[in-house]
Amino acid sequence: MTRSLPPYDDDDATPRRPSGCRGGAAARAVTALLPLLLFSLALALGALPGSAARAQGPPPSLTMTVDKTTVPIGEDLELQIEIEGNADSLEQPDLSAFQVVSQGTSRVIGGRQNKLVQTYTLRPRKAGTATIGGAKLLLGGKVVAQAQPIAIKVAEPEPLKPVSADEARSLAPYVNQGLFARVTAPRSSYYVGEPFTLELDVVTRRDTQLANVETVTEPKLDGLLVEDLPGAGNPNDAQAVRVGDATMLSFPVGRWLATPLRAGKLLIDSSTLRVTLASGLMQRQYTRQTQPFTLDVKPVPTEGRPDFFDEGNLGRFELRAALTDDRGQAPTTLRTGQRMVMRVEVQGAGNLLTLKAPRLASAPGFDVQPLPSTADDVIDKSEDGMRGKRVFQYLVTATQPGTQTTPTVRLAYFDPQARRYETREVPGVKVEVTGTALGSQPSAAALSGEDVRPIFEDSALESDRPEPLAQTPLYWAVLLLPLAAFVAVEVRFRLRRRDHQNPGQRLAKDAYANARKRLRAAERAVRDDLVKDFYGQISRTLIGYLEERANLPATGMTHDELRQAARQIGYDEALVDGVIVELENCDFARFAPQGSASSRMRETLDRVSELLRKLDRVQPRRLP
Amino acid sequence: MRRYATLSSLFLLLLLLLLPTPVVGGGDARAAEAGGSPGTLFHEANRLYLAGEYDDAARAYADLHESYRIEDPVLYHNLGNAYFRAGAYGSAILYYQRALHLDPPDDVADSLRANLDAARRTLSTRYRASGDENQFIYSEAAGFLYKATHVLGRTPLAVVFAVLWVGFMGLLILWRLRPDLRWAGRAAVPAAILALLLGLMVWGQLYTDASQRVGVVVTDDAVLRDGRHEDAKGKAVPEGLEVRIVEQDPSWTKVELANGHQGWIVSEQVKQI
Repeated sequence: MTRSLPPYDDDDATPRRPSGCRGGAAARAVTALLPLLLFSLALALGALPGSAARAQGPPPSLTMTVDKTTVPIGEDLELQIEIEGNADSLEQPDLSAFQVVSQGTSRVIGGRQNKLVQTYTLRPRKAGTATIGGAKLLLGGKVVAQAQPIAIKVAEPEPLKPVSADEARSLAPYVNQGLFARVTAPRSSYYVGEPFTLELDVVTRRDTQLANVETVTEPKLDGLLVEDLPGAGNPNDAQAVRVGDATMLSFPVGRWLATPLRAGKLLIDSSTLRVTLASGLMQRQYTRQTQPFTLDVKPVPTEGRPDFFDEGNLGRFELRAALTDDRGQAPTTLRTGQRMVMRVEVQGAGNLLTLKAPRLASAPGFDVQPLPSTADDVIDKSEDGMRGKRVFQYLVTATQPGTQTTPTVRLAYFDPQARRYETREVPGVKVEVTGTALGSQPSAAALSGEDVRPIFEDSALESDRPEPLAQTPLYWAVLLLPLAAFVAVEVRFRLRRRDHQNPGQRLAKDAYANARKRLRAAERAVRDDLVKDFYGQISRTLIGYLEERANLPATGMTHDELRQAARQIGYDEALVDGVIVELENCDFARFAPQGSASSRMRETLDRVSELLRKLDRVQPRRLP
Repeated sequence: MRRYATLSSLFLLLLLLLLPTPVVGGGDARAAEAGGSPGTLFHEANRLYLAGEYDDAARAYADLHESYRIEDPVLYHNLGNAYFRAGAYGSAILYYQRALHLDPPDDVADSLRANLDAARRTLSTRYRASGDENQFIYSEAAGFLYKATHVLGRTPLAVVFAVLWVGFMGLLILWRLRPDLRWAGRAAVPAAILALLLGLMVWGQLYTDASQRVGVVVTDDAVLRDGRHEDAKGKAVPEGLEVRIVEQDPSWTKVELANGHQGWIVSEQVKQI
């Protein structure tokens, strides 16, 4: 295996496949099976008859070697298994004490040499003695070569001696190192409750590429409240740093906002990282530890501490306060019992999370109760620390009449950079309070710190509020409209379908109505004294009726044929005779119209009308 | 003389025409008595509130409500606030709830809910702080059906149901007119299911609104008694508690607590939302 990065102290460097080893499960399965397949192929090749020459080569041999027999926990070692000569199969060594990080197979063919080399990168699972089991080479079911187990001593990493925070920041110890990791804090001394940033960086040479960083052990940070800060882990955030004569790249791997919780020496313990560097197509893995260091954490001094200082108020802050009534205006006159809200804003940089509510100095004419916190707090955490604003609210109720001074708001904080206490104050203002004095007992709402939102000062005051929509008749009427439309469409649809399925029935049903229509036409003919037209209509009325009602082909029939056919389909003789008589009358009158008076036509109309009614009462058998 | 009779008739007619006016405009008469229109009275009540005269403000808002029969969520909101500031938390809860039942606009509803919670928390703190074993624990007086059917407001539900119903019917009509448009028939199925569901919700709202009457205990000395007389055995119930009203007469109201326990409370001490 070629090692191409000599400047590193790469005694623990582990060669890795460029990408396959970091692929998914399928890729790992293929990677695991590949050497076996290659090995089987090699053995099969060896068993071919054409390989007789090789069969007569050197006797089978099996060698297992490791690159180191002592390894700190977390670091990898390399195992090589070399197979020479002919064999059927290899009984793999027991590697259960290790995690197989990667493996590969290579074949060396040259002259009489035919060697298969399997390479494993192994990572011990725990400290102590880890054993690589023996391996056996089998031929024809017999062991022809074997390798003895190898014991690996897995040691806990040598604990590094903590240094001071200033020394940990210094880059001098890393001169001539191609890769290192370090944790740094901006200062070596802090106060309890003072937030600061901790930064974990990996520093590499500029000609290599950082492929991956894996945290093996997190630094132990007892006595610190630690929060992750965003923005770490982006390779594009690398910064050039000067280490000795060389310019290197520093990659931020982790950033935390830490707040000391107790005074004393605070250990920022070592962290172990597994770093993968890429150089060309090759990737190599290295394990690095950060240098532990101590911080000096001091309690907030008692000298010069104001009476109204509250623990946790550390930073640099500005104070603003406003007393407003329900209109949101600063009051000048009040009534006893009237409530106001004091809104206090503390803005600046420092530990806003532990900041206590500013104090309202006692004002005899007012009852002051804190209100629940609002959602107006804004706290930004970054590598520069913590900054933003906190909002506190108080319910202030005037209790005594007269000229009163509203409560003064005061905040005391310790400035860690200036190393002294500072105070801020918003003085009260004079207001005129009217009404009668109230008892000292606060109301239940004040006790619970509850208050209502402001009243609405404008409203249309709907006295005739409309009924809910679903309770108005119009709503349901509107909903019935589409239903009615659907019912109409459905009825039409069904009628049309029935007519489509039974067209004769429809005609039969309409026969009487059609006959009546024709009679009306005949009546008009009477009025207009159109004799021929009248009798023509009468004739068409009777014949048309029979055709439509009974599907009787009356148009082409003689009167005798019509008589016979009408009887056959169920009309009685008298009715049929009546029809025939009227038809004959029509024929006679059409061809001799001179004798037909209006009165006769009217009589004919009445007779035929009556005849039709009688005909329609009969249910004839409809011809197909 | 005749002219006099004509004038008299006209006068009588005019009088008859004007007779209903005091009945219809009774509110205006009272407004005139009280010194202004509803808007003026509302602003006067607001002024009292903002001046810290909460009892007077509550009276002014209540007069406005009673005189003009005004059912306005903003009026109820402000009335609730005045009661709250005056320490009458049960009445405050009553009016916040009444306002919420009127489907107020979003900003008013938001404020109403916040104030309602504040009133409930206040009562809870009061009973806890006084060591009163009669703890105030808020619980929904209305049943599951009420809650399930009031997930959506009355107006939004009615509108959504109407839209779905019309859409469903439209699809059916289209399908009948153009049977070749099979997608219309297929789309009608989910529309029918949704319309049915929402229709059931509308029905549920109407049913529960009509059948489930909820009230609030508005005084801190109310007692839930086994019978409708002062000597009946009873147990104190906390102010602000919401109860289901079973039956009511001018003197006594039968109520049911959330745990199913029924009893009688003096009608003045419990008001229907």
